[in-house]
Amino acid sequence: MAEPLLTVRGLSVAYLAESADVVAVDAVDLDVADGEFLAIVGESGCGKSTLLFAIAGLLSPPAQVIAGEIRFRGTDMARLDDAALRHLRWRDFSVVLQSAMNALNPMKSIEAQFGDAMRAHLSGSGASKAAIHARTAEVLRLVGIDPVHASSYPHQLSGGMRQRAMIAMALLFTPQLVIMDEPSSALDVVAQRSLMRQVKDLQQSLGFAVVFVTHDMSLVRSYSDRLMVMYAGQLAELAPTESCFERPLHPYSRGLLDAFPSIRGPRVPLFGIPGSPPDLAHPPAGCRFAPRCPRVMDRCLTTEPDVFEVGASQVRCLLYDGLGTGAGVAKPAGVAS
Amino acid sequence: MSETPLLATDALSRHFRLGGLFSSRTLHAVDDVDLQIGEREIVALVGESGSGKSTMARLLALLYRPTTGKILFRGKDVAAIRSRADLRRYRAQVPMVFQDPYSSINPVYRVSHGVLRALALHRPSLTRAERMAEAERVFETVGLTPARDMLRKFPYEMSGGQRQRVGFAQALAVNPSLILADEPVSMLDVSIRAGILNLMLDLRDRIGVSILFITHDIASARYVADRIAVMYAGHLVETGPTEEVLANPRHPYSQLLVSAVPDPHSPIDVDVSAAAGEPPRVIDPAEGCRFMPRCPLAIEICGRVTPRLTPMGPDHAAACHVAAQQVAAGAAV
Repeated sequence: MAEPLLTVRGLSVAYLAESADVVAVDAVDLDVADGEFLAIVGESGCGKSTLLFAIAGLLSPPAQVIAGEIRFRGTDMARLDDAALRHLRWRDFSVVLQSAMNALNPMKSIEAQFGDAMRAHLSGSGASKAAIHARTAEVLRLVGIDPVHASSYPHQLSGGMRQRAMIAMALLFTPQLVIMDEPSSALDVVAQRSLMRQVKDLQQSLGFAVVFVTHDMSLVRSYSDRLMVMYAGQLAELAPTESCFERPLHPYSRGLLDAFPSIRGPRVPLFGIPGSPPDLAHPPAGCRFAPRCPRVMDRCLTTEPDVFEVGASQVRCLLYDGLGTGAGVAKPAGVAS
Repeated sequence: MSETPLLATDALSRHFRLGGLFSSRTLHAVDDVDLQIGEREIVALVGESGSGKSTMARLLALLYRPTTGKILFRGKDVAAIRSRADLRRYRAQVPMVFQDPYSSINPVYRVSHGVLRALALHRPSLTRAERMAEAERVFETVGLTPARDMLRKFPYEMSGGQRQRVGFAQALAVNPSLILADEPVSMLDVSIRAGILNLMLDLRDRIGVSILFITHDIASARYVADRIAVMYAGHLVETGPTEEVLANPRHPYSQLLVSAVPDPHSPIDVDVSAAAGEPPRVIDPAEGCRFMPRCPLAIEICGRVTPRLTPMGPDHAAACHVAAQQVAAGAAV
């Protein structure tokens, strides 16, 4: 197998603080293949946005990569300086941020903003007025916006159109990787559905890979190839999307899935997941999910679980360590220091 | 419904004038809405952003005055209330819970502040000690235990779910009969959303309070609501018992909405061609159905005559010419 487009190994990101550093992303391993659609889900504060910012090289103090590497087509991005990163960013990978209302400049027309991006990355005739005009019309058409809107200002567009304009901007240079941070969470269900459909269609026709961060698991079911569930800064489960929905391995994935009310089938009582995520400045010993876990065992409280391979899935849970599910089985502390 | 509903609106409209002094453009945020909420009933008001859901809540809370129409609370028109004392009395009956638990509680006071203030304002006969006891009681009711410790916390010490419970506690303190809950779960994580939804069910069952649950999430609406009312572009387009509306939506917009809902338990990917349509025109709208530009079923009359709510079954009504014709044809056979 060729080297994946993006390889993340042992990545840890901390928010440096005087009292105790908050490790928001803890030793995450992740591969994204060419043309793959990977979804990352989790509750607020689980580190999903921090992970994505780290991958995009957008972290700013006090956040800092403290360990691990991020290889994009063989280059370690965590070691690149700003100038080198600027060559890659937007041309080879681009980012669509959560709120298009704030991500677009309200004082400039769409075309002027697209022009800024093109002039920053291209020189000579590549960034001529005519080239900008032509490319703007082209990418707007790609996302289903009539090119007459190129001269519109953001406030003249609806929320859905602004979000699509952001995606168009991310496609200016036909990148190989598009990173999306909750691009649809400000939209209502109908607009959300049509945006997801569009992202998927573009991804299939243009062949770029997508890393899609969301807190809404139900949104990605029909669109993503693989699903990564994060909890308290760590990978909880990484599995092919279908298998994660059909047979979630980690009790947290199961809990997330069961927390959604359904509009089809019988009306069943919901329980959610009692409790709240741990304080990452002082994570609990053992498994971080143990205090909220319905299947907690004695050793979960003392042993920090490793990531286990189960079929095509990876899961960080002691239920799968091969020592059986019975309580009280002690495991030598080989994994946790 | 045979008996007088707890709250009913009669052709309720709210328009906003746009632009400068001489501008004559008006935005029709809510138009001609007839909505009923019964005793001990949770009614979900669903619709896309900009459909007028929140304007409805503010109208019912008398934060906005209606442009035309009536709000009948226990049969009395409250839109005509002018005196401050009457207004206060009404608001104690119909308090509101807001969407954003992070900005709707004053961060510089302990969370007891809001509850105690509401009690001092709306139930002035209570002594200080009684107010404290009452605050503890409502905190326990909404599951913030131990209440005594919880009351002493500052908002920043609480999670989003706990803060939203504080919002409900404040509303409950004044012994309401109807709580207006404007998107109370949309800012919360899924894992704690269920807790707030269960709280609403619990409040209805144990205390007998009615709730107007405003949401854009149909799945949550189904979980708690007895009846659903669907709004589109300021119009009420469909209303009926929850299961009936979801299983058998009659208005094309309700059909679109139901089919677009992401559901982790059943992967469907229906074609949402109508989703490509533009948001409706609510500034100086012309006569006719406002969903028509996006509607796959539109017929000639839809462009001329605004459809009215027509009965589709027991307690089920939709404002659609096509559906009305189908019902009429069915009845004729």
